[in-house]
Amino acid sequence: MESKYSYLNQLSTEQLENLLTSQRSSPADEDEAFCDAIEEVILQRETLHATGRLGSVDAAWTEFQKHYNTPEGDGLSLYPDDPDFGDPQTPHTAPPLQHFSKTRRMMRRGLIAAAIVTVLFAGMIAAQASGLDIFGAIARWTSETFHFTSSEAPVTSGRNSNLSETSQALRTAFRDSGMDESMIPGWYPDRYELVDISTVATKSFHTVALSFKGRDDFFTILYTEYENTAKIGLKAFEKDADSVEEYISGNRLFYLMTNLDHISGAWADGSTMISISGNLTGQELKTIIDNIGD
Amino acid sequence: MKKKYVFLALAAIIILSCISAGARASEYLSSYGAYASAGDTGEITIDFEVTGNQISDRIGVSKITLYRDNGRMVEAITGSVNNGLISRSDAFHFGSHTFDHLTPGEYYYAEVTVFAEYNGGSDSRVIETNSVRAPY
Repeated sequence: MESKYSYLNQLSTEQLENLLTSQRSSPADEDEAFCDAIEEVILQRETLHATGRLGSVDAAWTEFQKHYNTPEGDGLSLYPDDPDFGDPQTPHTAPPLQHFSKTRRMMRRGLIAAAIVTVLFAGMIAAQASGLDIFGAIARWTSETFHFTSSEAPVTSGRNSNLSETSQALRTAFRDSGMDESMIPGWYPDRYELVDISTVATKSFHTVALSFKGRDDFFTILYTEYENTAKIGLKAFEKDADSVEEYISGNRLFYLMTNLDHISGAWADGSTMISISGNLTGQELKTIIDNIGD
Repeated sequence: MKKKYVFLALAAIIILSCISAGARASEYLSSYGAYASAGDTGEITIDFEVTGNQISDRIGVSKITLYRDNGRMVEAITGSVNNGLISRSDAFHFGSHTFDHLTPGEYYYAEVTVFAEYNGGSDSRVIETNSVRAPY
């Protein structure tokens, strides 16, 4: 404050507020440095001897979030006298000091938040550059697990959405012959043998589980219908840091992921899921998927 | 100067946490899930599914801990082959356990420890069910 504005210290807080108000009421003549100097003097005084004039920062933030940072207010000015917003015929009124101080605080918080986001983003980019699929974590998977979210379980177009009927057909086929001719895979690698067919019914899900065994290899196919879409989001697939591949076959979008030396493919539509996991090559997995009927 | 160190520390923590997270995956577990459903009066059933990466020596649930919605533990059960929570020599295991004599109208959830064991090694995960209200 050892500057040309040092004299402001000689004025009372009320006089400073009046000066600030007069500055703000004439945007064309506004001297930003002068306004900043006035605010600094007021802030210093309030820091030493709080009069309640500036209010609580936390309360101001809460007020901003509740009353101003709303969907309805999106795109609108915080102050009605902002010439860039609203009705130009509306008489200009200077914002009260308290509002202005809140705005400065919010701007400071915003700058801090922006700095943190920048650091986060930089960290993510660095990690991504090292081969980790960090950006995948923003979607439906992390570097550890994959799962379908209940609200985002992909619905593919052109598919019969009567999933219960599909599942019922599966169950009926399994009851009658141990296997549904349309949904079971039409192909699997020669080195494998279908060794087990299990059907399970609980309150939360119905599953038809197939397991295939080779000499040293193994894979499973599960057809599961969940009680509701929320529960489908609770199922997790182990995966490593490699990225998730999206593979479209017919009307189905499968997510393919690796789990060390194992591979998994999963498709979900509403409350129904098909998952394939085991010792398969990527091409073998895709061929199995391609041969699952509609 | 202090801010600079704070940002550097923050960036280092983020990068290190990302790298350590990338190390996760499982040699033994493939997929799993646990789900809570309302049963009869004062009953809640926990259903689970666990799939291994191979035909496991043992696979299933080693523990289910039931909690009230406020986080207070209510009851826990240890898994065994006898109570149906663990299966031997299976690629996957599906099962259920019902908790009864619960307070009707209260919400509950469970933490479920799923595991798979093969050739002397094993891996486990603790997963959480949805919250469900015990029926009147």
